[in-house]
Amino acid sequence: MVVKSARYSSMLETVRFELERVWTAPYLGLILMLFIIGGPGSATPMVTQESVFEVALSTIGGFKSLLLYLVTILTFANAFGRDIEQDVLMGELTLPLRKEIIFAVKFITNFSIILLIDFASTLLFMWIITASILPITVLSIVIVDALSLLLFASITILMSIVLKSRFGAVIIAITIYFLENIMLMNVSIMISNVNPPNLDPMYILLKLILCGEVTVYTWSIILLHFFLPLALLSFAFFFMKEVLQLD
Amino acid sequence: MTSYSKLSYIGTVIVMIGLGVSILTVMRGLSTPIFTYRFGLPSNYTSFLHFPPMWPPRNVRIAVYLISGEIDLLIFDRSNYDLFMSSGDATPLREFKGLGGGTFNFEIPVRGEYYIVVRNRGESTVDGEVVLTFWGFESDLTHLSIILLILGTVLWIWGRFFGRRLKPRWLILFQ
Repeated sequence: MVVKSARYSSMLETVRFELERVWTAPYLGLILMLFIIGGPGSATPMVTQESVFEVALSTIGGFKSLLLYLVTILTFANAFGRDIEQDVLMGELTLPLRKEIIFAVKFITNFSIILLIDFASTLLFMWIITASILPITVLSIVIVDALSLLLFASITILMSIVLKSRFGAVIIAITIYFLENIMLMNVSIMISNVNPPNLDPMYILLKLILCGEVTVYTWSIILLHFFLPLALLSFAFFFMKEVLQLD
Repeated sequence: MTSYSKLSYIGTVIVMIGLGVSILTVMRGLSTPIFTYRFGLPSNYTSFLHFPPMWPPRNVRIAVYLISGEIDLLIFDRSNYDLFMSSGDATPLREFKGLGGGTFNFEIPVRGEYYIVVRNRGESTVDGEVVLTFWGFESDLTHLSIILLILGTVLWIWGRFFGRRLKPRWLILFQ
């Protein structure tokens, strides 16, 4: 019983540590402000009455997506890279918790705050542009965002741990983001010059979740944005545990 | 974090959300979308004008240009519009009778669906056009931004300056 409560309090301690260290008030406030300003709400002066898919489509892509990727990359670089740079992770690992739990708690805390911000801002846009709130659509958009962001979160964590540098991790993750966009654009033009398919991962995942549409590209996007990140996260954890030997 | 620093934390975040909503309100308020609809109404005929139905709570300037004759112009919200279409009897939000032309303003009360219906009660066909110009800041967003800014500032000040003073000094001895 005592061990269990000590474990829970250590987990809470890790969550509190992440909130205080990464999610400071100006950082959280600035991100929320940028999300509100940069979202589709500022680009659509009139309220629209379109299908659920079209409304959902208007909330993905554009400045908001870029902002979401940047925030994810910066947050995970701060959460993992800075802790390793400043030897704070050593202190965290002295908590009476297994290392994989600390790793998971750090990841889940930061990722869920990003998704919570995404959920709140999407809810606001939804209300501004449709005058109603559709919780299922908002949830679908957040799930799509989560799947798209997982890849960049995992790349940032892995690079933070491998390179032991926040700067390196951020640069590599941003480079991969742009390379992926350029690659997908080239592939779509190669497939068809006249009517190139939209290979944007967010678009394909949104079609899968909202319309149940599975195309030949869907599986490759799921592989790239769900299974590859899981593999990268596992590798990052083992690298942290075995190679860095932080205990 | 102590409870007081939590207050100033929440206050700072709310102030910044309020700033974001204020900037969004200004950005949306600066655009003035214009919609034009031309019509030819036969005698004793009522028609719905195909404008985008979802309107934000701004001001709308309605300009009516008629070549000849007079029309009635009615503005309905969704529920009354449905009632009007089914039974022909409903209360419009605003009704302009015997319009020969002119410009007037209408303040949209809440974000939602609105419909414009024109009616020709005369004996001859009326040709003309209606131009809608949306202008001004959206009232709900303006109120939301003001509330958030005030609430955030109060929480921040409370947490930063007054919160500590409420704590009796002798309590420190027992900590």
